[in-house]
Amino acid sequence: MSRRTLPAVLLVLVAGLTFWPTPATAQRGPVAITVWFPLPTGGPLKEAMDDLVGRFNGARTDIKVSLELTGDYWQNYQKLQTAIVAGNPPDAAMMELMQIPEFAGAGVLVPLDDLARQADFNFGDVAKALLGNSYWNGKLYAIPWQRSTTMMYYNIDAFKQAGLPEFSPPPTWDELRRIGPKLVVRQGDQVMRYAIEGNFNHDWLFEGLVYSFGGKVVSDDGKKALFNEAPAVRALTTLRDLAKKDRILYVNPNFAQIVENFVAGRSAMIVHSSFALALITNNARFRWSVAPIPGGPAGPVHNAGGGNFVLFARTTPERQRAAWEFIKWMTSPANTAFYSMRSGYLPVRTSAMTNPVLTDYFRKYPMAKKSIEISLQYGRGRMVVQNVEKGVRQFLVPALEAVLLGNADPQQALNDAAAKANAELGK
Amino acid sequence: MTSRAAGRAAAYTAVVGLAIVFFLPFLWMFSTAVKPDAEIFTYPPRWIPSVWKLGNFTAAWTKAPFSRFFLNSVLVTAAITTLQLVTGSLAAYAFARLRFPGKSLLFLAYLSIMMLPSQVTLIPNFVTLRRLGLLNTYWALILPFTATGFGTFLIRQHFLSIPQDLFDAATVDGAGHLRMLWAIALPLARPALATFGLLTTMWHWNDFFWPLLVTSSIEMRTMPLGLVVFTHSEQGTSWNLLMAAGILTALPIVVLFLVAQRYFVQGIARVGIKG
Amino acid sequence: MTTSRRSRLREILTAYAFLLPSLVPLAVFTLYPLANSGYLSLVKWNLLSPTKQFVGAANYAAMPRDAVLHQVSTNTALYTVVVVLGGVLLGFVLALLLNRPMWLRALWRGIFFLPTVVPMAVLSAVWLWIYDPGFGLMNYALRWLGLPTSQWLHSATSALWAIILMMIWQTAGYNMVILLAGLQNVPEELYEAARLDGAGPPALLWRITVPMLSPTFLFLIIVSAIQAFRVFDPIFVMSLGTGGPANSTATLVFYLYRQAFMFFEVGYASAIAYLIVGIAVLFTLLQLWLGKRWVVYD
Repeated sequence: MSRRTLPAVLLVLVAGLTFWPTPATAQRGPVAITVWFPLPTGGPLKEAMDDLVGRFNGARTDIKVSLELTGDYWQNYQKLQTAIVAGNPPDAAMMELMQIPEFAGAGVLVPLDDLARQADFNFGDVAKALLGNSYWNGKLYAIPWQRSTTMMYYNIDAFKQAGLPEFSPPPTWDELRRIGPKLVVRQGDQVMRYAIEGNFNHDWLFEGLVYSFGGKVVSDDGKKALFNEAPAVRALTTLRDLAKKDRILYVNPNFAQIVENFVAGRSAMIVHSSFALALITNNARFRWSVAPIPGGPAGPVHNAGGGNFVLFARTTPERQRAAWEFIKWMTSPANTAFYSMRSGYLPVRTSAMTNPVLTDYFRKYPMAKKSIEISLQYGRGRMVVQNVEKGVRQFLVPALEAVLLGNADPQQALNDAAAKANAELGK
Repeated sequence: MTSRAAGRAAAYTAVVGLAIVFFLPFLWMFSTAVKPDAEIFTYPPRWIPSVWKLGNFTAAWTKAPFSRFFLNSVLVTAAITTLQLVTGSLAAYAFARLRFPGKSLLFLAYLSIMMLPSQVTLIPNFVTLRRLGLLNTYWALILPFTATGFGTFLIRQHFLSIPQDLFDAATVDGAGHLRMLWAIALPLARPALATFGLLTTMWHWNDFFWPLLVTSSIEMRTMPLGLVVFTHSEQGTSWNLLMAAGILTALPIVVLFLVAQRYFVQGIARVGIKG
Repeated sequence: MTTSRRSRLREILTAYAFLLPSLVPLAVFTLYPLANSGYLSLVKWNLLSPTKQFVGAANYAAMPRDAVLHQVSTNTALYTVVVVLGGVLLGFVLALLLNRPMWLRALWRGIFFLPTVVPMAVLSAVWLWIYDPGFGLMNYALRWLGLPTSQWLHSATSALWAIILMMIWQTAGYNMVILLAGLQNVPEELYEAARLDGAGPPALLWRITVPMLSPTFLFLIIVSAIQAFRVFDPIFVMSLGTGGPANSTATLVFYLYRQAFMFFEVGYASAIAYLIVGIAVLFTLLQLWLGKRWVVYD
């Protein structure tokens, strides 16, 4: 070999050895993980998620996330159950928060305490109300993602028509009883407008009220029903009296109809989800605002619902790590700000409130800022029960309905339901 | 004679009156469907809106993927009807015209299937389809309904009434059973086929429960199921859009009924008389 | 000899070949499930786990202690009795009225029969709106007539009645058609002879029409009863999947659905399915027995 070619050959050799994929690296490439996401239809949420996932995949060469849409929360739950039994769950999923204890208790989720500690995850920055349902048996299993709380919306113009101060939503149930009759509009004996309307027959709203009266629906360990104790009974009796004696409160079991009724002017106030903000913004033709739900003796409480991210245990440590990286990235302040803006859900990080993405958005939609502030201030987590549907809901809701939509006595109905619930919860 | 005439007039008035009352829900549905949003919650209710918002129909059609629901319904219903006519005719021919061991036992089985409450088959069929990996597919919507005890019975009745000579003549000509089924039995049983076809089309177009169980994605929904999901949508649904969607869902089968009312009514009546 | 044996064999093979396309699906999707449900009613299974736990008759034993099942059974019984009696009666009235040539008869018949044709999901949506306590047609009509209004589907005491009323409306047309066919089979001579004897319309009705129609009535009542106590669609849609305020509209089949697909108690749900089959069999036996004893044949 001549002296001139040798360096060239050496150069090629060195380059080749450096850049030639060795068998080990050839197999490496990005770690591919699947994340299941409950989304029944396309729309702004899907676009926002696609945006975020796309950005993540673009920014990282070592991880590739594929997002799979799995229907609504219930279908997501069923698919997950089937997959777990079949032995091929996804690496991560977004899951309705009240379903988490069941999976955690079954041992199929990865406890996140260590991962969070190693990543110096700033739990102080997560809204306290939202962390509540992420723990089971003292361990962390989930990171909040898609959260909303109950919210009260009120019709400012209706208040004006009733001769009330415009921005005076009632802070307590007693105050509601006082001003409610003025807000009710009748035509003959036909009620054209109720003072307040809500899905009060469901535990989703009722739990917040029980907290607000100083009580709890179930014990902290999820084993004992407490909804037949004095605070809950008082809450239920208050609702019943407002509905049947004062006739200013309308219990509407049709969840979807409540927002429609508000927009159509059939109710001066509604208690609904913070998620309805966009719908009302786009459809209401009157002045309106958000306000804390009337409070009992313990002050207003807005319970938080929605979904959290979880990791599944039946996967390689490498993919677990990758999934954790994804979740950590998604729940960073900037990204939760972005998702909150696009979806109408709460920003999971309190520091996200000062993120320019959100502050710009709030300038255009001041109501969104107000709603989020109320949610974060008065928010509280939901009960933590291993099987909420069979253990609590199937007894509590009929009892609430028997009182609010029937003629049952509150203490009796709740006692009855609590006895059955305790039998089931104790199993 | 005048009392007879008065009686007839009274009866006719009663008929018209009852018919109006019976039809009110449909009038109300149509009236709501064309109302603008502002006129839904008026008191007293308006029957005739100030403007007829026909745009509600397009709005309802596009708010949920109704074109997809419609396609699914058409596909599934057509497949089921065709399959049932084919399998039912074949079985009916065997029971009507052929002799074979086990015939009475098998016929008894087909009859008792007819009377079986379908609820007892729900869970096992769901599990079977899941094991085959066919949940949330057209197969799940079609396969369980491939055969029909009722259709077999109905068509067999008709085949029994065909004179033997026609078949004898065909046999002499060298026709096999399949040929005789196709060339002789089926054409003569056209009324029964039409009646049964219409009935089963109606039953399966309107089916809500089974699609509810076996479909989980929005693309696989049939129209009635799509309508109900529309009702439950978290996005909230105005009554006018919901009524418009309802009209669209019912329209195909109502049109079919109007065109073939005679067959529908005859079919139901025949079921009744058979007892 | 051989040719006829061969042709017999061919006939048998043809028969089975013709039966196969329907036999296989029926075996897989009807006969097998019937047996499988029976087996499932003896286990505890959550539909998803690969193992089932054999519990013998425990599911059946749990039924008497199940307060919700009691409520559901009562709901179903009340619903069945009122809808069947009301629907058959109304259908009979309509059939009597339509049993004569009249102007636009097909139109009236079509109007009464229309609720049978329209998908139940659509009817349920319409009646959901009709029953709206504030602005629905029902309360408006009641107010217009000066009658008291009701909360209808929003009240635990009236929700089931709301559905019952709607279903009487829905089934009347079907009953009418069947009874009309039966009426047209009553020989005119019987009426002629009775009229010559001086019988007026009430006598004609009770002495001739009703007895002659008794097989049809029996058939209709039994078939309607079996249909009624298996009701699901309007229950689900009009209660928005909940079974009504305080389970007031939950019926047997709805309860089956809830147990199997919401609580994943497949064993218990299958036991309920067998309960339903048992009741259907009872009804059919009742029909056969009553048919022998009460029905008048001429």
